[in-house]
Amino acid sequence: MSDTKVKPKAAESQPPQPRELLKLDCDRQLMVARFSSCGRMLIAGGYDASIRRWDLGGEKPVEVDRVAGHRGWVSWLEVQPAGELVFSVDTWGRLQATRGIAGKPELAWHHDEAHDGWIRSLSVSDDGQVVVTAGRDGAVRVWSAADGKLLHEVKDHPGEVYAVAIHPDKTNLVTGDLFGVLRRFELPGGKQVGESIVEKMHYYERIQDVGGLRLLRFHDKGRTLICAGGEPLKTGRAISIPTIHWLDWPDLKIKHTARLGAQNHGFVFDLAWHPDGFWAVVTSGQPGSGQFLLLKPGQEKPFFNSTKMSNCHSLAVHGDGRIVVTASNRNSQGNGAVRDKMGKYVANYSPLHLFSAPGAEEKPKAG
Amino acid sequence: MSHCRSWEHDWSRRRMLGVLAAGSVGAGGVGAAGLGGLLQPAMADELARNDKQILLIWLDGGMSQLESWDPKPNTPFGGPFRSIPTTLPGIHVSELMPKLARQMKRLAVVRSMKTEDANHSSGVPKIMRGHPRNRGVPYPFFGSAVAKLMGPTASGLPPYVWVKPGNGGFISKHAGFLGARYGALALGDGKPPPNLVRPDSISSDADRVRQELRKKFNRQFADRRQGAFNEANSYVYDVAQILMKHVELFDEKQLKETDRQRYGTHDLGRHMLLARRLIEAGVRFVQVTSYGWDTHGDNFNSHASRMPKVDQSVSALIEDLFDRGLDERVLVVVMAEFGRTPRINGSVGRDHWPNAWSVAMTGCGIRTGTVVGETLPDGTDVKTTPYDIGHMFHTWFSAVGLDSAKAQYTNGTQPLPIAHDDMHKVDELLS
Repeated sequence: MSDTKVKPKAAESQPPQPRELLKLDCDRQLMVARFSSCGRMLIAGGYDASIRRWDLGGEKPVEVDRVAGHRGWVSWLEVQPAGELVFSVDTWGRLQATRGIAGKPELAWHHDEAHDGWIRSLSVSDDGQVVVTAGRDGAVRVWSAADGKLLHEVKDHPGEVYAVAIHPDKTNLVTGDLFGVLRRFELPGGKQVGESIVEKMHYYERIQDVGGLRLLRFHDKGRTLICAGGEPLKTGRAISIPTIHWLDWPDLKIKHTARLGAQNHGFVFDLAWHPDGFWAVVTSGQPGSGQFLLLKPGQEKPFFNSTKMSNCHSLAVHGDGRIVVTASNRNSQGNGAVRDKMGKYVANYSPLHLFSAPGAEEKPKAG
Repeated sequence: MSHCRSWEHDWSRRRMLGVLAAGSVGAGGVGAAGLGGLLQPAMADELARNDKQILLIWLDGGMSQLESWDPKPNTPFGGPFRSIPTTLPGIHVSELMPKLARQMKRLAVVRSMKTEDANHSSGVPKIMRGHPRNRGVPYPFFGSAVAKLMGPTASGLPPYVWVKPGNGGFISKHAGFLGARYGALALGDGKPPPNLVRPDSISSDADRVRQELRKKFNRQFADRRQGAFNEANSYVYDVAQILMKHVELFDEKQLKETDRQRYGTHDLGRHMLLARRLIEAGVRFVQVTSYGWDTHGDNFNSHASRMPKVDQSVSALIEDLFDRGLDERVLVVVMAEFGRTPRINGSVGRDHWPNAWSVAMTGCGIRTGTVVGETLPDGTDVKTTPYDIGHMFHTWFSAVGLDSAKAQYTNGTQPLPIAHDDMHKVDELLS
């Protein structure tokens, strides 16, 4: 037997990790959070039909007046790239554009019945000129960002449209429906020019269709389409493997897939490209199984995975690299009638967790 | 062993078999839905006039009251959906039920259900048994109770048929202390028991010989076993014999395409359409079960997918019952073991909630166009008089002509009330 000693390997360098800077309380549950284009305001929408705002300009973040107008849950919002508008949609069919979100907000325009019911998805073109919405009513509509004028309409999807994205060159839009079907449409005109089924992103059992295709994003100047959500395995509960596919555009062929956890981890709820060159992703599934992940392009294993937050529902990347994650409060599950000391039935809420940019402590601070 | 008392049904097993013989005479010419060919004219008339029937639609796991009968839009626990007006002025239901909204004048809804058990394993039997006072014996499920108390209709068809997804068989445990023969004949995926139809390779004469041989073996088997067990065992064979005379019930080719589309081609639609045909053919108690309503996660997407199928199939059934005049003698109940929490959990789901939930019903003298009870504005509790499932059992028994305040089972020498003795029928629900 050889007595040659094995030289220990040099410790592999640990990829930079984010660390939690602070937690903001929010007394209601949130569906989506974003930073204003100027970076000063953290904005979020959720179950209380308002747009919540936190001013990050001072020593401590301070919640300021809410933006009203919505009636159902604020299901999605996006900030106009290089613009002053914030677009938001709700589950009762309203689309609105708000100006001055970082100061004194005012309604720029709105449509109370942009869709019949739940608007599932909202996408803004890279140049900020066009807004696309899709909903339970099976319709997809393209709006002028400047004045809210309806530009194009694609009706009669056979199922609910869960996700929509507009190509950076604005000549195409792509939809993903309840049944895991991707459809490519030309603009203007709305002629369907392509279709592809994303396998495993739909499940049917016991009279329930579970849609797994929940997010669509273009990346890499429109050469890649990202299709995210989950591969559902059961009905009635969020039993699904969070999954992201990267597809070639316009062929709609899958070129890379990452499955981010086990069947209890559910679905990818949100994702964003970080300027340092990786994907930030949040997932929510079974109670307490939330994940906040950082994933390098082309890899299947995240280099950072925080499971400390109960169920993560949204994230946003600030211009300076910080990341905010909305989650649900812990102990939010169960059949009992949980009441507070005053005997009031307790609702759940969504704390917002603000993380540093990965490795930020090693970087010289700007300014 | 349990016995019927004098106030209980007149349909002894002997009479039932006698009816079978009558039915077999006319079965050759019977249509899929008609009664007339099954029965002697006098019996058909009697059935049409007096024989009440029940159809229970069971949404197993717990449908959300907030996404169905008792929406609370734009409140902290209201969920994402809108409410819509119904044919009842001032009454709204979830936007997921547009067809049932149009049928509300034909329905009664109790919004003030408050029951005790938040667990499936113990809650389902409690609700199915009407949550009687504990007397140390397992009470029968609703279907078994009706099978015992009312027996088969004049059609002679099995009195308790359960249309369910998955496997079928004879489910004796539903019968509780009544004895196995009052169990449910379960039709897995709405299919008849396998090998129901006599193969062409066996002649009717050969089949008759086989049946005689079976009876002989049964007698030998019975000599060594308890009476109740034997009766149940023999009963299952009798049921098979009865069903063999009604194979047309399971022949989907006889269905109208318009009916298929109206009810839906999904499991629930197919099963509801079969349930209507079973009721029309004279089954006393039909239960249709839909599984998978335990929406602890992804509740709103789940209900967005499920509710339209309930809306479609239940509204089609109600349309048909009323259009055909069957509402006068068929009680329809739509319920589950509980509702779902107002609180929305981190999995975007709702958990179990027996504290304030809803049940819908119609037919058989139920006062239609009625909404009984009210929940708090945020849906967290019942605001008006709460009703337990025991109140519903009294009400439903009354609707089908049973006086639940007087009627009793007998378990050996032990008299047992058929519904909770501290509860009563809800007069508001009865016309």
